[in-house]
Amino acid sequence: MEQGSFQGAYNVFKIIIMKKKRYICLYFQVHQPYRLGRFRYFDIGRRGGYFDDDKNRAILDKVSAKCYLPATLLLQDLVRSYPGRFKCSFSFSGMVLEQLQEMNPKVLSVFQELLSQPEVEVLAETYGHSLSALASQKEFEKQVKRHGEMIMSLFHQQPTVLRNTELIYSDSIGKYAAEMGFKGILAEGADRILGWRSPNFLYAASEAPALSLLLKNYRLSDDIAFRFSQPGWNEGPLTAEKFVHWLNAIPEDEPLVNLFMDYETFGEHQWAESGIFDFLQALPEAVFQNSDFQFITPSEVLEQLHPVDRISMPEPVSWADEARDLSAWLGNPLQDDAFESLYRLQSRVENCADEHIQRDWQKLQTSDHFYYMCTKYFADGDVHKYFNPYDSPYEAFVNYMNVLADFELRLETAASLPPALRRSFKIQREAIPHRVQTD
Amino acid sequence: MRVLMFGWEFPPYISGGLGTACYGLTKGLMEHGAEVLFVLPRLFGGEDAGTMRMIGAAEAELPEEFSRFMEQGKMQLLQVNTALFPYATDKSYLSGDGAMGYDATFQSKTAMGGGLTGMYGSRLMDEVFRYASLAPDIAARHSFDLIHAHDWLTYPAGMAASSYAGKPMIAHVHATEYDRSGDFPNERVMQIEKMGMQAAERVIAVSEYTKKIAIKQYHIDEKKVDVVHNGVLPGSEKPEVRVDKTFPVVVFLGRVTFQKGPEYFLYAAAKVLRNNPDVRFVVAGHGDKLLSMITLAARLKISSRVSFTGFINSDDIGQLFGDSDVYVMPSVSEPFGISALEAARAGVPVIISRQTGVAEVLKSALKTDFWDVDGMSDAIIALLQHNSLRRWMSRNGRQQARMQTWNKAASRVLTTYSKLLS
Repeated sequence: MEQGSFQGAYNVFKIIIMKKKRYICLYFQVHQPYRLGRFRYFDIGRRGGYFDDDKNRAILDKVSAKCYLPATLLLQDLVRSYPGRFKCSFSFSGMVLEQLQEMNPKVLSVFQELLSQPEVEVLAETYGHSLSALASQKEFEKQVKRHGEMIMSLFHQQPTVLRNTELIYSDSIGKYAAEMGFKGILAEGADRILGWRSPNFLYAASEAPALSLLLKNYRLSDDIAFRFSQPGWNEGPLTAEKFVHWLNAIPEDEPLVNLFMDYETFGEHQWAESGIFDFLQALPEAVFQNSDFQFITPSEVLEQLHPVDRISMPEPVSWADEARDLSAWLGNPLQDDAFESLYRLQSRVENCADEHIQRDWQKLQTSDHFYYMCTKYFADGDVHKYFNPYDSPYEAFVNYMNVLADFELRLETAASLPPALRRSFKIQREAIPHRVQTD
Repeated sequence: MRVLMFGWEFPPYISGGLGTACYGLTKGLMEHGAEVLFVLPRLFGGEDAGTMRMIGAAEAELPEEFSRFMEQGKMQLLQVNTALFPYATDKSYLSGDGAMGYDATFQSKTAMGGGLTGMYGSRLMDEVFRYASLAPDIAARHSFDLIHAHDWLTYPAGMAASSYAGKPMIAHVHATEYDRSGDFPNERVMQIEKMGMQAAERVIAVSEYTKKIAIKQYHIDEKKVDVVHNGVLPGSEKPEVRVDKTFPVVVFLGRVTFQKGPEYFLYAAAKVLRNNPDVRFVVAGHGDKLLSMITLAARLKISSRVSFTGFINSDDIGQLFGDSDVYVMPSVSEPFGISALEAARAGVPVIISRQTGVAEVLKSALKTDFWDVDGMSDAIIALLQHNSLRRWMSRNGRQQARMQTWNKAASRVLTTYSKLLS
């Protein structure tokens, strides 16, 4: 009898284990920067218009056609085909939303349609897709708030989970997020942080235990995002069946697989011809047929799972490159000086009511500008590259600093003039006396 | 008098001060009645088109007065089939003087890119001697009284023509390897320079400063060296003055190379900015030190106040001078420095290093040693602070620049010619 009851308890226990739910959390990042046009020294103080409107429009149109439209329509189909079962989450930078509003409202409405489904969750992020969390808590909070207002007005959702720019996370950023009332935050499941631990659990922030950490499973995420059509990858071509097979190979006690990636994975990074859309279309069915996994959104994860441990990231970790640190955006002298020069203007911008200045301030903070200044893969002294305006970190830096100089002048002008005159930035000054020639 | 002159560039297709100097000098000589046969290297169709673009002078539109001179038979442009290219690599920037990048030709990627790197040692040297090998043929087909060769690239050609025709040669020193490379000169280039100056019956140096280098570094007989200061072409003296100018501008204009001392400009800038954070510094020009200068500015944390323009054309130079409150030339060793005169002519107060030839004619410039960044920053601050000083220097600089004409330089050169022929 004793043995029997033990057997019975074991059976119940086994059922609990067997029934223990396992989840796939899909998250897609949507962002386009406002790329700068060529801005020379001679343009400083002489013209506004920092951004290359034609180029930005062309890129937005291209990405919309190849990715945003087809991928979003496909997801709409999937949500309709598997109501309450297929789920995913998004975050949009304020930059891409502004550009869609301005230049491609049709695509925006397709996104709105998808996001109106309860199966699709939208996350918070910084408005400008900025590195502000590394510069100033105050600016970071302002941006997240500004972004939240935009999300509310466009998607009628109040995000409870935060995703910082480029998945950059540190203990300090965790504290900022918790202070703002967020319940969870997305971060990279970097090996150097996790050590022997698996990313496939929910964790808590070490400095703010109320904040849960969802860590990206970078191997499985990158199988889709990077390796999918990589020539010479011995696992290619990747099918939904094979992917589900890998999911099933994950130890049964690990309840959560976080697949975080750029949305452009679908159709832009991996072209339609690679079969990426077929893969996405087939994935839910394959998961439902051949595994115990269910789809889940980030806020649902926080309801279903409990953190198993605390994770500390004293130094910022990101999802970029092999290094998974900040070195794509900061660290070389160009990036550091540009970054410091930008945030030296912060208090002056705060005191400026001009909406044009406020909007440009967001656009100038976008992390992409600093990414263009990265010299990691640029042989020093390679003059050849310098000449291509879009192919050299030095060119990117010089151009950015000219723009910033002009922005600073506008800031001074806007601040020094009475409100009635603030709309005009050109002040006519007396000619410099020593160069007024009478002969 | 007919002069067979060997050069390597001529307006409008020029990349440095030497083209300007050849233009001004030949113009001055012809105004004095001399006739000039000007030999230019040119690139034949398709040859090396992938790595460089040098447009032969025949295809170029010449300045108007030259067409006139040519119609009158005072001037002929002769072209030699060689790929000789004056500024083959940044390291080999050769002319000592002048504003850079007057023409878009050399702003192209193909012309300035690293495609020619390595030519300095091998290809370029081959081309120099190829140019020389074609010189006797030219000497045979034309009659002339003497030969005038500009800088080391043309000395072998001048020497070849001279020995073939038995006519005397003048070596015109616009710059030396010693200026360009300091204590680490290219030995072969120095050797050719020395050979040329020794073979020449007379040597013309662009300044007393350069004459001293010829004597001290190249052991040339003092008695055979004449000094002829460069002139400055009359240009627009009223550059566009920006009316909405909101910050003072201090400008460096020249190739961003060791010789021009751009790093001293940046160190001085950092000191000035501590005194007045509103000043904007402009580094206009390109060169092998450009990327390291951009990095230096970032390391000094002054990038928000420094603009790097890369190559700029003559219109932009005019506008830049119009913007500028102070012009700084911190050259480590500058045989002359035409662009300082051009700045002065445009009414911009000038600060120059003592290691420049132009200091001998531009008396109203403020002078410091190139390495003395304290002195340099003090001078910049003083000029920005004191309107009276700036106005006074602007007026005087303009007058002194106006007096420094090519006509005057040409008459000195003619004096050298007559010494030679008498």
